[in-house]
Amino acid sequence: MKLGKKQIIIGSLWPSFWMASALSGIVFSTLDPLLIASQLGFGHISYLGAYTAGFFFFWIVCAWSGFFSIIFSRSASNKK
Amino acid sequence: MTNIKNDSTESSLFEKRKKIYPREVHGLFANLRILGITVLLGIYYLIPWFNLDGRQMVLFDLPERKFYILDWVFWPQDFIYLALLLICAAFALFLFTALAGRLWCGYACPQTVWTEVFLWIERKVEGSHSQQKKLDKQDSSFTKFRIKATKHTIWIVFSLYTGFTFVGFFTPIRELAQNIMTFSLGPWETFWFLFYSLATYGNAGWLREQVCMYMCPYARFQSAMLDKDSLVISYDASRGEPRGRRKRGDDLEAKQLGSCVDCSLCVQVCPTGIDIRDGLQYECIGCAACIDVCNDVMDKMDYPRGLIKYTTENTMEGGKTSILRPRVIIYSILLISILSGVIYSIETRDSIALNILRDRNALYREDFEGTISNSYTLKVLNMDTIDHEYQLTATGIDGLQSSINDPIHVKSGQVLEMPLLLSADPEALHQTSIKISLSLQAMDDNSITTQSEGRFIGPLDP
Repeated sequence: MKLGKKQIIIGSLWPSFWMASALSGIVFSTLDPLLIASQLGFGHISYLGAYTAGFFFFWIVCAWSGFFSIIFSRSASNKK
Repeated sequence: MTNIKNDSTESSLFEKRKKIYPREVHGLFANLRILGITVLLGIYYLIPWFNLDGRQMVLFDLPERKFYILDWVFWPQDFIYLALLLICAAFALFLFTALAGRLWCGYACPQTVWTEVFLWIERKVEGSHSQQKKLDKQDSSFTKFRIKATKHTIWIVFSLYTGFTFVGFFTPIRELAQNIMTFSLGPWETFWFLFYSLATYGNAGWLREQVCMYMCPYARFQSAMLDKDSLVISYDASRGEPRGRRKRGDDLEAKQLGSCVDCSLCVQVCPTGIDIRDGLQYECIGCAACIDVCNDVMDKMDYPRGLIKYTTENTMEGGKTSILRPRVIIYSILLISILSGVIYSIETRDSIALNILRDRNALYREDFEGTISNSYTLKVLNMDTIDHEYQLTATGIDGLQSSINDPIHVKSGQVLEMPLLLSADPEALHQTSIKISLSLQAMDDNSITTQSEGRFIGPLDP
């Protein structure tokens, strides 16, 4: 299976966007993001900022996972 | 059942896209779509401006960690309701897909709704689909630049207003409007405002049908929810073929022609650029533009309408369509039971929560008279829409004394934290660790009550 660059980009960024939204909802409804932020040393961040940073963190993590899924779904023999 | 034009579409994946210029269409289904768009966009753009009881009617207040929807206030612990409502939405989608195919895509999906608005703006500025094509083929000129700049300016202004409204669901919209006017919008609000505006502009202005074809997960799995009794948009090949040009009033039998006049209007109006006459295709978003335009042609030719129509595969094959099929019944039952369960549980949920945390610093204290006491932090959460006074009662040990004897006043929506000291006579302590129970009762409403359990620690050898 050959995949184009754009397909890899959309395949990793797009599903992970949805997963990050769901994760933000689940995680931040149980944990207060400001508590986590202050633990990490970002005490002055606003709520919206903490939610945004969390959302992007989840997005990046999920996108990495998607990216590797795509990479590993290609058989090694396709390598040129 | 899907007859997918596999090779041509799959290999065109992410190839340079040819712009589709859908022709404008009028008719029953176009009117239904306009109605859908007006209602949905009306709801989206107007709702944040409505107030109820001195607060915004729908507000997802992130800093306060409270969601206001109409009369309801949702707290973080109510997240389960959001999850259940999403499950309801999914079942509703399954149900409607099983019954009537891609109704969602054709009439209600935000992608369709905003794309239609953008197409409408494009038509107002650039003219009909053929004028648009001509303009795009022209060499660059001042006129071309002016027309394109006007279109993009209107698109961008509309997108910015859309992004502003989106943020208005999370930050009180009046405050937000003031902040924008005075250029004092916070950095994160600015970010989401621009992010959503850009998403609207990109998705509805540039990507359009590509979102449906390449990015939409529903488009990929909807065929699994369709069966031979689902309404789909279909071309009646047995009646239409052989297609061919003819004059009005020509004898079809003599010319050996079907009803299709091969005017290709059905292809011209299609927002995804497919030919419905090739059969059901996954690109078809069920917008019924081809039905409208074909019915017009049939009227002009004095042929009966419905060469392209909403029908089911069973009807097409001459069979009967059954509406009440197992999957429809199962989806309906699940949908109704979850939805009524959610509403019942929201309406009857506790409007009070009590948390009790033992202080970790000391296990217990012993005073001069020998009384053993434990200290706690009490958290009372009033989730009701009005203020309340609560009476606290501590039980579990004979003669247990509480430091809080007066009623506790908690405002609506307030989380009150206060220290609590419980003391007991060592004679009454039969174990090192005893389960105690705290209950809270609203003074003005007997139905508002809650209970929480904790531990009382005494000396090792009582």
